[in-house]
Amino acid sequence: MIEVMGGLLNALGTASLHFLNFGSLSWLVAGTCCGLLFGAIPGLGGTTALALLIPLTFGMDKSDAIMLMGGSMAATSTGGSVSAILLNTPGIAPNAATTFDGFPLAQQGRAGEAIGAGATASALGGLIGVFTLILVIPIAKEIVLLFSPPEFFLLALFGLCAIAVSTGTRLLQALIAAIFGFICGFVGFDLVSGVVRYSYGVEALWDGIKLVPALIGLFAISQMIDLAVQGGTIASHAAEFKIQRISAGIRAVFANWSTMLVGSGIGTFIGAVPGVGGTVAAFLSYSTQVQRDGNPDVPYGRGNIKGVIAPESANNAKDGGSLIPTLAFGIPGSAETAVFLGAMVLHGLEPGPRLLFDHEDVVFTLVLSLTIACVVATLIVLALAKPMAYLTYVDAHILAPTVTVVALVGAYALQGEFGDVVVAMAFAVIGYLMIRYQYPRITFTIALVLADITERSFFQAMGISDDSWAIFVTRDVSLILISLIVISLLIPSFRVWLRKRSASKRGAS
Amino acid sequence: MSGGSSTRSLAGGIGVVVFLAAYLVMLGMGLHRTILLAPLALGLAALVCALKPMVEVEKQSALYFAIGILAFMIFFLHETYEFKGKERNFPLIIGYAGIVLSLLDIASVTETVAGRFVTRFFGATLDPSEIKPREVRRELLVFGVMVLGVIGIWLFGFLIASPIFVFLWMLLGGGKSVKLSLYVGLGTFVFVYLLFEQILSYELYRGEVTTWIMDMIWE
Repeated sequence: MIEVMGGLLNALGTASLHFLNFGSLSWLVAGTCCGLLFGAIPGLGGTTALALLIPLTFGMDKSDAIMLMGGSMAATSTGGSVSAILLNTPGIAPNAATTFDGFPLAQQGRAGEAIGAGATASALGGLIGVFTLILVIPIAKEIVLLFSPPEFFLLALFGLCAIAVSTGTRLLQALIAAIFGFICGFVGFDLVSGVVRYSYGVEALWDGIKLVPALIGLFAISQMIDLAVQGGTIASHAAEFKIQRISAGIRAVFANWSTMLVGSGIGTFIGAVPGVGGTVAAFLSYSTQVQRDGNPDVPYGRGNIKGVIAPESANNAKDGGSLIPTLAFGIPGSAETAVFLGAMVLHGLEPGPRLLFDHEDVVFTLVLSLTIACVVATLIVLALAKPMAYLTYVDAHILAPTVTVVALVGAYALQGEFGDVVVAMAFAVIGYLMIRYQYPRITFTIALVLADITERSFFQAMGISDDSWAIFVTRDVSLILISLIVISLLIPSFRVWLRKRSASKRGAS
Repeated sequence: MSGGSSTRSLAGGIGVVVFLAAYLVMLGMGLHRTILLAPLALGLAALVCALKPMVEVEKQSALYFAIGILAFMIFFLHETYEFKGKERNFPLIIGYAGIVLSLLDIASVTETVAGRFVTRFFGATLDPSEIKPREVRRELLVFGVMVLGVIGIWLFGFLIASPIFVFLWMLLGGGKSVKLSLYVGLGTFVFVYLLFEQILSYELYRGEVTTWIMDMIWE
């Protein structure tokens, strides 16, 4: 135990050194500002921010890159809370629960209080999530040693199924998107057989579909196409609220510390389950708060400050939680962490068990980035809440061409090949069609990222077992994972059955 | 479903069976794989005819998209059989899973018993009211502008094409004033140039025409 703690402190110390460097710290602040900006603009979100930031990190030291991206990841939901409170328009989906009480507070002229409470709860929730991550890292190391190829194969499938189920009514389409992601992942040189597959003689495809241009197209450019097709501005009505009494909001969080703690706990736990994500965490935290608070002074939905604290602490705490499966197993818990995984691979950091052993300092750089970014983001929000809200009034026909150009330049900058620009555009069209017909892009992305490790694990498992499928059902951990896959796939029909049962009960009564 | 519609569905259904049988016969005869794609394409066209009357008008574009996905999955599987042994094992599993899921997806769009069952089992509802209205003309226009932008970048490079792309989009596509379009176009140029060329020291793509002209000048 002493040895483990010694190693932990050593890695923490090495990581801390990066934060004493002004240049590195500037990247963290830049990432935080970018995350805040993209979080505050509805429809853009953290995934778009990360996709656009990846090309900027090419020439960077890997720690600086992690700080830039980590800062952005940690700040997105804090930025999203501003537009949720001021405009009743959540910047990103997890901020939707904040609108319930945040916007009524703003209507009552208490926007400053709501923003103060939201930002403080976000920062504290984020810190709790990160500290949980620090505590879990040594345990995660022990757990990953229990996993071998069959388990990794099944874990990848479980991650995908869990994420597909989390898309709600679009499970079937999410699974199809995952299949499509796998197919794209098969393109190029196959490490197992040494054969180039599905490249049709196109030399640019021999190395496979490059993740960064694909992600830039799938998230950043496709979103711009959607914005341009729909036209108008992102937000629909003006924010004419006074931003004052921010300190009252900060005090409210400390006065309601149990609300913040419960929200953070829910966020961290939910974040660690692949695919469940911040939206569920925020809503679960909000509904738990409503149930806990049997006789509130101010009814929920009419401007109760606890209705802002609960979801905001949960959706920032989930960031730390979602990094547990991402770092320990290489299974991203969300679209954002999938893009983040892509960036790590780009910098030679193979996510998964080895990362915890070989690059512990990088893991702790990320942990510290998230910690500092939570605080920096809060300070920036408290200082710049109103100008940020005005960004949502930028016309689609200004935003779309400029972001598209920057995204295309970013796609090209990866390797200086024009083919990457074409790949980005092709994936932009695919991404747009997926938005249009409601095929979740998250499972596509995660399958694209996981295709390689999944196929490799499958072959290793078959190799170990002399091509016997029994290996997937004769080991304890594998059996647990198979059960989880089956359960996760049955959840939607169980939900339908529950709904029908309660409807028939209501009908009978 | 009206009488005419059920006749069309029946004819389409027969077409699907006939073309599938033709595919299997041609496969047995050992014909070239590219030729085999013909009965598959015709079979998919027959499938559209068969299913169209069973789908609400608002969901028809979703049906075409789902059939497009099925076509892609079939093509993928067809291509996968080009490989041997280890290199095709996992793709085959994925390909067959893709075809099963695509068929279920197609069923979920239809107003049939199978469709209702799939919808109930997977909770795969596609509420037409949830699909935001999008003008196809506008979509084609945006795609067209994007493609022209990429061609422009290929010909003239990022530094020349980017500000022109932004300027023209804002002016013609967004109806913005010349002044605003010019400012934003120039702002984009300055941002891209300063960030990528100066700060990050990337040499951005110069474009085929620009490179040719520059070479001519240097010579």
